[in-house]
Amino acid sequence: MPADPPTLHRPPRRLPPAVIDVMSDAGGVKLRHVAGAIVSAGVVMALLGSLALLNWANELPIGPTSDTILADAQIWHNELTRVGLPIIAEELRAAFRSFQGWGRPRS
Amino acid sequence: MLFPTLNFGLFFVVVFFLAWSLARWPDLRTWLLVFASYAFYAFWDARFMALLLGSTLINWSMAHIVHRLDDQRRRKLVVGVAVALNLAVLGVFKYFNFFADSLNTALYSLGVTRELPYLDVALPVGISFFTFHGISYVVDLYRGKLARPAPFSHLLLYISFFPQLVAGPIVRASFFLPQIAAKPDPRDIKACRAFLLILGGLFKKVIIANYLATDLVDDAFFDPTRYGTLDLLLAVYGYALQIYCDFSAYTDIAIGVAALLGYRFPQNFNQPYRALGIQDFWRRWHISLSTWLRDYLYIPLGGNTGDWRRYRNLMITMLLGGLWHGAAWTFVIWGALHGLALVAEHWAREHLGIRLSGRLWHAAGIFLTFHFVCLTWIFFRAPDFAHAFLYLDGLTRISAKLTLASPFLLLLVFGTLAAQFLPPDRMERIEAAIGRMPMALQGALVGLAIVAIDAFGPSGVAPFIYFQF
Repeated sequence: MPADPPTLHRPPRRLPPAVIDVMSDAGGVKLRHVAGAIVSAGVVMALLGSLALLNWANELPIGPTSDTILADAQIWHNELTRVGLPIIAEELRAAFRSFQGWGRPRS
Repeated sequence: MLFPTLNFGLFFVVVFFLAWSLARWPDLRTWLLVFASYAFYAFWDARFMALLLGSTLINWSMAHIVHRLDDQRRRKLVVGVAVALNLAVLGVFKYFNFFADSLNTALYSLGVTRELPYLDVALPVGISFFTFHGISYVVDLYRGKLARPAPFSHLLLYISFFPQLVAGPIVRASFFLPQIAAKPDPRDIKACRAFLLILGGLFKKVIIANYLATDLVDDAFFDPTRYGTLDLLLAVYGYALQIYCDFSAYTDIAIGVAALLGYRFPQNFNQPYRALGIQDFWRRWHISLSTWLRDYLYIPLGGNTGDWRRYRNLMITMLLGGLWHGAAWTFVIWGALHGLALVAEHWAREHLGIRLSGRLWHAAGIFLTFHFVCLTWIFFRAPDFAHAFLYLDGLTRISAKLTLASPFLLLLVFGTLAAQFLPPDRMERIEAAIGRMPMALQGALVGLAIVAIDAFGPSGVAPFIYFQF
């Protein structure tokens, strides 16, 4: 039997709870598994997002440390470009931009 | 330091590993998180760290006085003083210039040319949120929801904890302080749900909210006279979805980040645009604020005692709720419209016995509620009344021309709207589907999703709308 739709007529029997815990029914895992997940996410981002990394390094405040980070980010991006990995993100971006502009009225 | 940036990602990874490495020493862990939270705040404006600390010290002292007193009247007086002090801080930084300006305008219209001076002070980020946390702490202790005052380090963390510091959700002291006191469990981290919330939040902010703002909403609200009915209607739908995606993105990411550190935050949004009536809307929109206002303002005012008293209390609560959002009359009108709608709804329910049963009435109720909320968003978004009325005027300027729409924007608007009607247990279903994968694979998918969101997103991310509140 379908549940009754909420109605304006029927007030709730008691106040809704002040706090709804969204995590109460979520499954938990061990720290080492979460750490592994974070590391693997970082590896994927470093491999596929080298251009984003380079852009981030470019925006760091100028200083000796940021110069080193920028140089390393540039080398890393060049190496991956030779392998062809950043092209995945570039292709995704180009496809998305093309869809974004498709059928757009000219003002 | 905005959530959807590499700076925050690196900051969080460092805090995550350091915090869990100190899991066996809860006191040290608490101090580390306090230090990280103050560092996070310093990224915004280091000058106001003293204000944050001062606010915590005031509430800590007041709570100790309340706890030591036996006389109920004196306890009540001290709580009143604590609430007044918290509101005074908020008043000086957020509302002084607004009231001075309003008073000066009123005096000028009466022919008085002397002016109240204005304060040259910036609005501290997150002041509305940490003020409410301070009030929650003292009042929860007074009401007996906390057995004793919290240790200073716990209170520092409760008020400054970085995921919720600048834009909520508003976390009750009685909900969060026991979590700080408990030893975190490294065998029970709600990682899969946390990743889903963080990714969902990034998608809503970086893709939906940003493009709705730049490609649709900003233009229409900047000069509504250039557009006709359909464009302005689409843009106000766009703003309704932009502010939802922007704000719910922030709180989803905050909930996810806190969960990865072993803490739980309350739910803040529950598909608000499927609400049937304004009362239902406020049970789904910014839930932590609406329940806070209910428990710390509406009920102390008298709550549901008698028709007219209830209506008065509703109006006061919604007017102050509007003003909480920003020091401008447009926010007061926004709150007033919601208050009037709530009063009308209560009155209609009790005196006319209106019953919306049946699918058609149900759909009509949702449609009307959504459009009323959209109407009020015009006052919320417009920089002043002149713009708001130009916008309303434009909505009546019948024109079939649709100059702002593109398939992409229509997909954003109607796709996001349709997502409001997904099953409420969608998160559990997705978690059940991907929760069986090895965590390393889940992590790789998270990395892939972040790369895709970054590729699709614009260069640079605008601050979250609720930072200004």
